[in-house]
Amino acid sequence: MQTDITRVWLTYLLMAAHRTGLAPMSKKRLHRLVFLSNCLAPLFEATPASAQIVKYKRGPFYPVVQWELDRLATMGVLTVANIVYFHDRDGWWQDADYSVGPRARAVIEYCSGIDYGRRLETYLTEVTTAFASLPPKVLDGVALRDENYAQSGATTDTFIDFSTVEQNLSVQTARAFKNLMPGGLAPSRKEELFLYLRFLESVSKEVAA
Amino acid sequence: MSTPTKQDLMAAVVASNVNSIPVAPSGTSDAFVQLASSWLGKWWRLRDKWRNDSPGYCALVSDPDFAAKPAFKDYELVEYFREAPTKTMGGAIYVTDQVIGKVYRKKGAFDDANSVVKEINNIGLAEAPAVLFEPEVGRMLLAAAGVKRPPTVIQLGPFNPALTVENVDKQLTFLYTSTLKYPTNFPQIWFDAPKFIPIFDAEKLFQSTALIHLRAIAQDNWFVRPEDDNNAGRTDLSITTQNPTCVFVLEIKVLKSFKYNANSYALVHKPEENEAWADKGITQAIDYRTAQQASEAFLLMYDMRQKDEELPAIKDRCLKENVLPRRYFIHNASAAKVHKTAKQTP
Repeated sequence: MQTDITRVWLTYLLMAAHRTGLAPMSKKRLHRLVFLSNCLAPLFEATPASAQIVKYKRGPFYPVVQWELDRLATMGVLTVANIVYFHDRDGWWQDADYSVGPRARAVIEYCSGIDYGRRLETYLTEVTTAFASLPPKVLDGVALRDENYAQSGATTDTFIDFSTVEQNLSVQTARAFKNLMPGGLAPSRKEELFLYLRFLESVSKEVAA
Repeated sequence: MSTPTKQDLMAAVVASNVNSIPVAPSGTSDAFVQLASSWLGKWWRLRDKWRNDSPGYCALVSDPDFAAKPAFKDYELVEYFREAPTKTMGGAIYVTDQVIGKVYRKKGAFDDANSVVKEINNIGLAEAPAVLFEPEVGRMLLAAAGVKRPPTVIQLGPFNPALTVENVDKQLTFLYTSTLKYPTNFPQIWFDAPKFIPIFDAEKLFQSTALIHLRAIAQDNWFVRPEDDNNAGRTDLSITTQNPTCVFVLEIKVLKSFKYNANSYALVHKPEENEAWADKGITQAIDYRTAQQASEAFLLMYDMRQKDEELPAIKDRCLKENVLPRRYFIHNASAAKVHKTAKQTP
């Protein structure tokens, strides 16, 4: 079941990426978007595909997601292109670009016939749109500034668990925007999501300055 | 210079972004039109700094699958279109995704909206959401359902950022005269114009059109919000400013002579029903004013009745309750036809 959810999650994300001009998307950027989508899922009452991650030297990366991405590409749901192998200071690595494949629409059509699928699509479309609304130059960096990922004391190989709202610092920050809205206005969950990603953009720029 | 705190950064993010987040669900035509009109409103404000811009119409059209279309080869990728607006907007078609991220342009002699629509039809995007724009005069044609359907015309104009009754009135009147008054610019509001039958959810359409206009023109100066939840219910529109904090609430009511009917039968909507509806609007405006600690409450009555007549009892109660009543008569025919009929009537 978890495998199916991960595959559906990835298919929806890639389709939303296609519709917002982000596809084809590099493996690095895609794993980071998956991570952000996991962190912020509680805003839309969605259950994250994975609410734990090990802080990796190359940034957010999920071996299970990688396995499913390549399976989906083999199945024709996604496409994979520009596969390169390279060696850098962190060792050997493989990179590739992912996009929607010829079978993606059929999968989405089927899944969106189910209430759970529709709700998941709503959330993943929103989070991808919020991500795609950021300037291109910060897209790869914002996940590294995420409140869960960049929490104090978390170094490489730290196990980060954000499976409860108390542990999920990203959601806490997103919800804290309600204290800053003018005239006591209440932000919608979509606004909390968009504002949080804009906040990560600001933090990225602040760090770069 | 001291490093800004997390709170500072978050406050700055709120101030500069809330108004530009589309209200409609992402991925929908409405969300694209809201995003594009807000972006064009920002462009319009920047335009003041440029001495001249390129003439002619332009259009932003959303089609994420454009790269697979034969016409794609005639278009060039424009880098950083969204982040770095250019003054040479006119005389081009821009086909883009849902967030104006990847933008493909074709320049041409697009002197009028007709030539833009022709090109959009030719490239097979007649049903794609689009916003046509005349950069020299700030005229936007919103076509959420594509250029096959008549668009809503929004005119950008002068704006004073001080949140006062006078300035809000100016914007609402400008919106009325430039967009809402005649079906020429706002055809969607009528289900059957000759029979005076409004669409089923006319209030929602007035609300979303006012939202688009106010957000495009006010940018980050006024926070314009629809359906703001408070303990009295949901305010149709609220306008807020920071430093100093000031809130205005606006309740929208539609007056009509006939009700929507799918078969286009003219089912009568009685005068007393209109009065009761407007009276309910006053109560709502008072409640929202209290709940949001607003300094002013407006009752906006979009009047789609057969006759342009005052509602004295509503006016009286508004005066007593300190609610600002505004009635805008919506014609069911073009200005030329209305004037011609008026001349013929002794």
